[in-house]
Amino acid sequence: MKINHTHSEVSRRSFLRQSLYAALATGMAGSIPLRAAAMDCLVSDLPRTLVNLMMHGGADLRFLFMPAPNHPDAAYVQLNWAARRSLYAADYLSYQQMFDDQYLLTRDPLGGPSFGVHRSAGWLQTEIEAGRAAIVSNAFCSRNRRHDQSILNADAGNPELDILNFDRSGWGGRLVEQLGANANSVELGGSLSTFNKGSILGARLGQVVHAKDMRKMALALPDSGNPASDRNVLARALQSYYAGRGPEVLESQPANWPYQIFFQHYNAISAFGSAVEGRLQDCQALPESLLSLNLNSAGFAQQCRNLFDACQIPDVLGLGVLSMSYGGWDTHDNQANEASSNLSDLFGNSGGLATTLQAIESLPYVATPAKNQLVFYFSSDFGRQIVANGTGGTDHGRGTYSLLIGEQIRGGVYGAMFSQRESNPDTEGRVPLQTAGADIEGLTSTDRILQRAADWVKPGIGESVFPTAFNASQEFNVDLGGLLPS
Amino acid sequence: MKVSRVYRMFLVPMLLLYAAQAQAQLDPDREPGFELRPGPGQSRLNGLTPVSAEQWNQAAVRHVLQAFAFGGHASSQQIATWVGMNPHAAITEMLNFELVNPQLSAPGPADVSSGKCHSMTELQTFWGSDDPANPLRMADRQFHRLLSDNMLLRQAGLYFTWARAMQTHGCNLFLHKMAFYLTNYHASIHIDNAGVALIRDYYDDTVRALSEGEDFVGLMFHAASNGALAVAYGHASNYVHPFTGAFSGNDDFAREYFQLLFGIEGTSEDPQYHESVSIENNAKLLTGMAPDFLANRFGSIARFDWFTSDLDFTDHVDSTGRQVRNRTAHFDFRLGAASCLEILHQQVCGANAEQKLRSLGSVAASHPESMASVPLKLVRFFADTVITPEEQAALQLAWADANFDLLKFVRAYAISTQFHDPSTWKYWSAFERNLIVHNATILDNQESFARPEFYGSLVRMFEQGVLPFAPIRDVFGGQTGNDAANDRFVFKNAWSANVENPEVLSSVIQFQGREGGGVSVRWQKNWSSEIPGNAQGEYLVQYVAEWLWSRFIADGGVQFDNLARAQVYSLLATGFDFVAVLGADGPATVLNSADLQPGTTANLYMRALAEHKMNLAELRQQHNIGMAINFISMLPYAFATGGVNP
Repeated sequence: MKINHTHSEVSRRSFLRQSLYAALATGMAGSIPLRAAAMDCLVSDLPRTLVNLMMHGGADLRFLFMPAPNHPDAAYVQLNWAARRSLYAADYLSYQQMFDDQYLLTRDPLGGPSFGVHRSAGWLQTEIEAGRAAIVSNAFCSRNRRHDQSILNADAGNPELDILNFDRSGWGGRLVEQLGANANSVELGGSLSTFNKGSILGARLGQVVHAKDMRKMALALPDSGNPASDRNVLARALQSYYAGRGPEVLESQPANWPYQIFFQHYNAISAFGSAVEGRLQDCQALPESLLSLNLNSAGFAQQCRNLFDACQIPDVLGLGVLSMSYGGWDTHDNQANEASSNLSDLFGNSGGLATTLQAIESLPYVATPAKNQLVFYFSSDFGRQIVANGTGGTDHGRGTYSLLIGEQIRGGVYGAMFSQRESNPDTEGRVPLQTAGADIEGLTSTDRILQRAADWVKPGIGESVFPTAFNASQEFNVDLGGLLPS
Repeated sequence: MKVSRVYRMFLVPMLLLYAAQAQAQLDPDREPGFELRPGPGQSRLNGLTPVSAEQWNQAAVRHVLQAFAFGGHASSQQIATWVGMNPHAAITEMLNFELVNPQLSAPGPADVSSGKCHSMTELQTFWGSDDPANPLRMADRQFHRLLSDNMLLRQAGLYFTWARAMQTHGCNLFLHKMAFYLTNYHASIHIDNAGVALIRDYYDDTVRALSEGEDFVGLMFHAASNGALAVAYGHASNYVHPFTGAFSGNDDFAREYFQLLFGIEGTSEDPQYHESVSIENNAKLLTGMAPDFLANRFGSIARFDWFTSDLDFTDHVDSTGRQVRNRTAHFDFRLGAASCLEILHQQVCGANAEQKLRSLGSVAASHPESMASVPLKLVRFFADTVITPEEQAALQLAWADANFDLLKFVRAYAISTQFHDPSTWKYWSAFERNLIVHNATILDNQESFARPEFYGSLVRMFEQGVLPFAPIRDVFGGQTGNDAANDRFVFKNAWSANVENPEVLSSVIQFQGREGGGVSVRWQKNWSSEIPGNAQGEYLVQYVAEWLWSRFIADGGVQFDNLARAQVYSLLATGFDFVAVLGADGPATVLNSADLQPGTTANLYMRALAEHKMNLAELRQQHNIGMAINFISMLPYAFATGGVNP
């Protein structure tokens, strides 16, 4: 029997052509790469990139920021201390003593009153005083106190949602759509979320790269070993099936066909995995500081390594939006220990971000250092109640602080950091700092803040990414205009 | 009981809807060609139409087993028997909460393990022991040991034991999947927060409650009053001061009790009432719930491991001499049974937290938001990712008709046209997919125990992002099918598992050492014990391929396209991929469907391979089946399930 190779040869050529197109498509995003001296690494400048770092669980940022003992509103200080006394060790004799032990007195670059930053966040305090971190007070990303709905709202970039529908776009996905077809929302954490999803129904992951481990992204395809090994037999069989059947089902089946996504995975990993691994092999190895990064969260340490690697190959990934996460903020009890541990990982002098950004400074660049092109935005489900509960923690609230860090930030405190509303009687005579269940009043929608961050990434796109921001609320007399100069 | 205005607002329109849909059920044209004989334990509910006799075929039966019982362990003969039965009668045999369901998963002869399936504690103790009856390989027992070298309970031991139990013949996998859903998804807690002892108790308590026939209200009562949740959420230390009446504690579970256990988010009424009355008062209800220590429990040196899940709501001294004041730490304890709290617009009364939880459970379960939400939670977990508004209405109608009988509801759904319609589909979580594949691969307990522990499903689950009792969203539950499908690393790691370690699914021979040396026991794979030959007793490749597809994919062959067939035929007949068999064109060659059209050379090859007779007496041919399983189980169709009977 003689075999007819005609179809197969065409198919192979077609396959090679598709692969070439995929490589070109992913390789041409961003500026034109240059080859770095003394290495084979293609150097491409990092475009402006917004990093969304989600603190899952509802972070109590009132624990991170406390009023200085000499805060102008002395009554506020005393009420706040009484409300939160149980969060700290019992042997503190006064607020001043606790503050001196637990907090770093910090100057507001915008001229507001000094305040305390928890000692576990030493690097953050440095960034604030250097004017590279902004704190937007009385922010809110959700109107309710439920984790799932609030996380969805934060990811979607719409605080007003009240229906749990996860089949919707996230603001990260919408942002990369505005950056162009080659841009991707790159997830550095364990799983993709609504944040990453785009607006095209049935193809919401079309511009998403999941980079959970940048150094292990490639698919196990046929290798140079024994072609008759079980490994290579299976790798060939599967590769042949996915590569052959994928284009057919793309044409013959609807976008929401349940199995479509696995062909997408195959294509994405095949295209990206080898390209990423190959380029990284030519570029810098992970520096020792990141290899030995020892955090309370091993998962976050891995995300930091991924962040470093992502900055080495922005053109391959199509950067512009990165996503990271850190869990463990649902501190109903044992808050002092848990929050301190989390803060140390994120914001400590030896924490993940300090270590990674220092390593990123060593990366070669063409015109602009990568560190200057990164802005971090920190989100969470919601804020927590301002009065401590009876188990050494705080319960779910709503309002919180929004935090942004980056070289391009006009740092300082925006809005009333410790609102007098909390220390004065309300219309029913209740003082929030003496009332169980009270929380920070959400005055500034995070849409308003993020719209400006999106405009920084690419001028003029904020309105498209956050279409409801134009009529979202904002704290009276607070000007966010200078937060992120374009 | 006074029905509030809010209830009436919801109940009246819901009842009208129920009535309209119930009327529609009476239309005989909706069930062409099928004579309904529900019989004892009937599984018909308003809103759900049973499938017809024609629709109740092998694919439908396997679809049920995959969705509700990790595939189960039923033999081909048993499946054929169920196909021939009235679906109402069949489903009663397939899905029940008996500790052992021999038709779904028959215990092996003289098998001690299956007698302990009701308890992870008993199974782990046994499998980690040197008991002469312990069937595990000597080297594998260490993975199940209760205690670490420093005499603390081991988390890993529980992970290994649960995963092994789910592949052990004799364990009722429907019972266990439901218990897994309740403890790892619905009323979920994390092993890091509850500890090994309590979370294992919680699972065992749930298995027991299910097997004793508790309805949904009873199951939620057992969850809410379980020491494991009290410790995990922290309300174990909540109290009301006996003299000042001041509450001390957190409101974490007070909120999640409504949202997670009953699906009540408070969105159907004044949110302020829900926040400041229902949740705040529920926090006061959840006082006096400290668990006892059982001194030196399991031999652990850590007091945290001594907790017991069965709460004693009195003031008493536990076995360690510790004063536990659960009566007097409770809200308004002096009023006894007249101690009441307003929650969900009802007066919830009782002398202690147990009595009040018993009372509140009925109120919460009957709440309109709960009636609307609970059936959807169940169906989303087991069977359907996207529930249409029409399907929602039908499910809510059925849930109302089931009167909180979980088993009745699941059975009715499992034989419904809604479940079996092709528009109904869901992605598998890494738990489900790996257990289904392993249960379809492992033919009996001899094989299960002969295989090294690292050939089990746990390693693959771990590589694909999950561990039992360590839900990725903590109290919001474990990895969902959507999570798994959207995670490219789950796909990549699943691919790597099959490609890099195909022996896990294709191993055909193992030697199992005996205690103290001696002759090893040899186990050898024998697919002919399970795959029925054709009328001539032959195993034609095409026949075996379709049988395997049916066993692993359970879609009636709908997605078994020619490109997949070519590869499966080739692997079965030769142990090589189709491109290698075609020769000359090199390993990277990609075929498309046109290449396999009749008249092409490739088509001739494929047909020749299909007609090849396998000789299952040869180990190499047994191995080829394993290769085909590796291929099939890495195709897109092994990552999701859907109805196949329009």
